Amino acid sequence: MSTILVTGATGLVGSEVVARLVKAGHDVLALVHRQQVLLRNNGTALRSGDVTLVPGDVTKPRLGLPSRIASTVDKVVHCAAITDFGRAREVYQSINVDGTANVAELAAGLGVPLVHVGTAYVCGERDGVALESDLDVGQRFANAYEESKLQAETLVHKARANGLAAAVVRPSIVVGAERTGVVRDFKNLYVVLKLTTEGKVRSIPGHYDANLDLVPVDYVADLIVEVAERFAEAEGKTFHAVGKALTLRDFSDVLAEYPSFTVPRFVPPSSFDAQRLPVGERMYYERVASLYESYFQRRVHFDTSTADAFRRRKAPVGGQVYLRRLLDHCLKVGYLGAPLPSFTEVLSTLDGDA
Amino acid sequence: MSAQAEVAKVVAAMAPNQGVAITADSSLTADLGYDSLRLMELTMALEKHFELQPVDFERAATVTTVADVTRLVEEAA
Repeated sequence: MSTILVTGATGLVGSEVVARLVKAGHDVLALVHRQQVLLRNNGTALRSGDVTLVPGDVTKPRLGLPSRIASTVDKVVHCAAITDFGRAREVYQSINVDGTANVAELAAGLGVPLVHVGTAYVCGERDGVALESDLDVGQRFANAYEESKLQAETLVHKARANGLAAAVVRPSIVVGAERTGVVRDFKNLYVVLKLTTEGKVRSIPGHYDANLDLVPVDYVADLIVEVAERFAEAEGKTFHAVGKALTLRDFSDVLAEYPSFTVPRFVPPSSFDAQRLPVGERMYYERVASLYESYFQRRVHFDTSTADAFRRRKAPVGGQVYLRRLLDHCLKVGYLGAPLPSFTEVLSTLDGDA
Repeated sequence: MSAQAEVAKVVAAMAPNQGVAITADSSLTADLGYDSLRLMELTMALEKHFELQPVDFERAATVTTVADVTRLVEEAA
């Protein structure tokens, strides 16, 4: 058993990682910043006696930790990151890039191993097979998030060359639990799903043979914990924590099974022109859906040879069965299926009053 | 109608929780049920209704009360 520092401990993945490490008997120091409560993916709070919350900030040198705390750490699992899209470039730089530099420096200074949580989408905008050993291959990026995560992972690699013991886990798009579809936060792709199924965004530039890789949050947490616990075998390696890719055709077919959903049309990017959309839909598209557009155009497959050879945890179920579970959960809790009026509808009722 | 009253009208009409009495101190999330997507939609509604310049995302993310929204609208007008 060891003392493990987990950054991003209140996050979707981080809180599940903390819960698993605690259950396995480790002493967990959960780095917390703004939020002080650790909610698991199913909404239950971690008991404060089971985990030690340590206030800190990845943007500060040594994460702002007093040395009497830092000196007890045997291992670091770095989950902290801004994963929202559309944020200012400085935000990604300070948290994702500089934050990782600070974490790597802390681990190197303490002489303890680092498990870095990256993203499979460091592959950037490309088609074909992305290997776990690929890193900077001159790829173009869809957004500042992906670019920041490549820079972060590159920093970890450099630190490794200077003697840091590190391993990297790269999840794809992290969504609800494998068996139940339950998810704590409806973010990122869920937002696009909401706008499209509610008919607020009806067409998206994309290819029906593009694929989306959705991975259950519990699988990601399981793999990170395996890497942390079996670090001697994992050291120096990079693991794709991904699911089974679904094409947009598969995706659309499942959406069409739900009578309350509007099914978005994917139109060839070359013939899509946002300016031709009605003003309301255009704003929904430009402000929200367009941030994710690249994900509807990539035909990338994540190779999992390293993860497959390493993990004892079974690969997650994927495909349409899993997508239905995710959607069923959204409907059950009312995230989908009970749309609020669009902002243009709301404004037209106000104008009617005037 | 004052700017504040006009803003409150839009905030109320867009709110996920309907029928809640609104004051300047009403919390967008706790009282009115806004989540991050609905806040984004509120920003779009305000821009269109008050003919504002597009509101910066990082700035919009800082609003927590109806009074904050009024300040945001006054800044962007």
